[in-house]
Amino acid sequence: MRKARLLLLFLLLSAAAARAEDPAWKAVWRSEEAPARVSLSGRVRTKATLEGKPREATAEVYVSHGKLRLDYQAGARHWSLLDNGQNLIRLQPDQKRARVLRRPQLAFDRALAERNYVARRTRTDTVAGRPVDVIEIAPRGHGNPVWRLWVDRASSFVLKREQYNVDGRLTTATEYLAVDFSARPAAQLFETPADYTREPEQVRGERLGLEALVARAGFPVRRPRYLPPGYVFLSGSFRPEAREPRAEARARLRGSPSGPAATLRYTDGLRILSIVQRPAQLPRGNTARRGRAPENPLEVVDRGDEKVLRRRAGDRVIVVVGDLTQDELVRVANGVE
Amino acid sequence: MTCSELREYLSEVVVGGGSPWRRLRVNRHLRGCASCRAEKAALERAGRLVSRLELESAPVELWDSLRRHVEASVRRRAPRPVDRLVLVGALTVVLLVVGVMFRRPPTVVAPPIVVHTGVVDQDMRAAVDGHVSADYAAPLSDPAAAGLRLESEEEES
Repeated sequence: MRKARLLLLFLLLSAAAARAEDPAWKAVWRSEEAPARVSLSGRVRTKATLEGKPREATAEVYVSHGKLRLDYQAGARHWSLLDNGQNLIRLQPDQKRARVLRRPQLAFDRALAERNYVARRTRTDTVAGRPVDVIEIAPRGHGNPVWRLWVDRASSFVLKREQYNVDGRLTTATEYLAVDFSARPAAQLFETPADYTREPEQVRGERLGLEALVARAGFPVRRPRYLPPGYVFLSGSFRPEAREPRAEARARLRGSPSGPAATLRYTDGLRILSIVQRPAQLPRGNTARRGRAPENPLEVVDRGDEKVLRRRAGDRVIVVVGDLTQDELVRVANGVE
Repeated sequence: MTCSELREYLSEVVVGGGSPWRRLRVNRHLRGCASCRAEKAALERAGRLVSRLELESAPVELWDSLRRHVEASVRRRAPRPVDRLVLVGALTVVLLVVGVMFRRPPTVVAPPIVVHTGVVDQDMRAAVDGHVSADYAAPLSDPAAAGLRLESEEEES
């Protein structure tokens, strides 16, 4: 009887150990939730490579229980970004203009991220005078992309971060130069100033499930026959017409009509893969005027954080956007028939 | 219908065979042709004589002999299943060899890849904007870098 009890206890402890959260991943998810818990002010330096061009700015940062404000300066230029949890608002002080963008609400599966990536604490460091743990997140096995987070030991807030793309290039890096966790930023800092012209929310399309999207689009939305390993469906969206009619007409003449378009988004838990489909409506003679090859080439843009691939397949145009190798992008695009 | 044609069909018509159309044509000819009528009467007479003869049973050995002869003839003509398989296999091999020797290069040519240095038009821009916006909501996204990217893209476009 005693032996049986001991065996049961051993089995229960083994099961609990197997279910225990990975401590590095636990620290990552705590850092994701930290902005909702803390309030602070600080100063960051941020860098991004966009379409091969390095960009850099410094910004004053204010965080208050889930709300964020960044006042940027890059040379003589100033602008701000507000994130109030529902919207992203870009303030352009020179024009007294506020551009509102609905903050996407996407449900990411943490278990999916943990299945596809490994998080490990690599070392300790100091950022803005505060002790931090450095956590690296990389794909299971070897390779890229890689994220590095410098997580404040006391608050779990990320004080420095770097992201490397699938080709191993550093694409974004942000570091706090100074931070004050005792600051209490005023509430009006997170609101659009009264003297700013508030532009209406930009069209981003309604968010739909896969079946609803297929029914809503009015043209057959095709699913990709090939997805990179680890990717699953995240969400769909449909954009009826992106621009006002005159702008759309001008765009069509230039050979770049924008809507209607259906977008399928997939994720591996951390990265997003977007597949946009729209009916091909290129005007006659367009290819000759634009000097493009008549056999509908694949067009590729490497933007750093992601690559873009566009191709025409029969009666539709397909644009694939994601942080994938060019070969993988081509394979995904060719699988949407 | 000529007399020679009629004589070809006459024996069939006399025993009640042939199509209705043929019988009609034969009877029409017989009405105007005395020699063919005489031929028909001779055939009918011969038929009546034959029907009066008594039948005799054939010996059993004759039937056995006939059956053996027919079975041997069928076996000679029908190929065995194994022979058929060999034949089909040989034909397949020949077709494959001919196919490989005369195969054409694939006609589907992969489209060329054009590499742009940046987003080229509003169509591509709309796709990228939606992606970047969704990327902002992904775990581990860098909000400070996202604000820098949004402003840089606005400046570029």
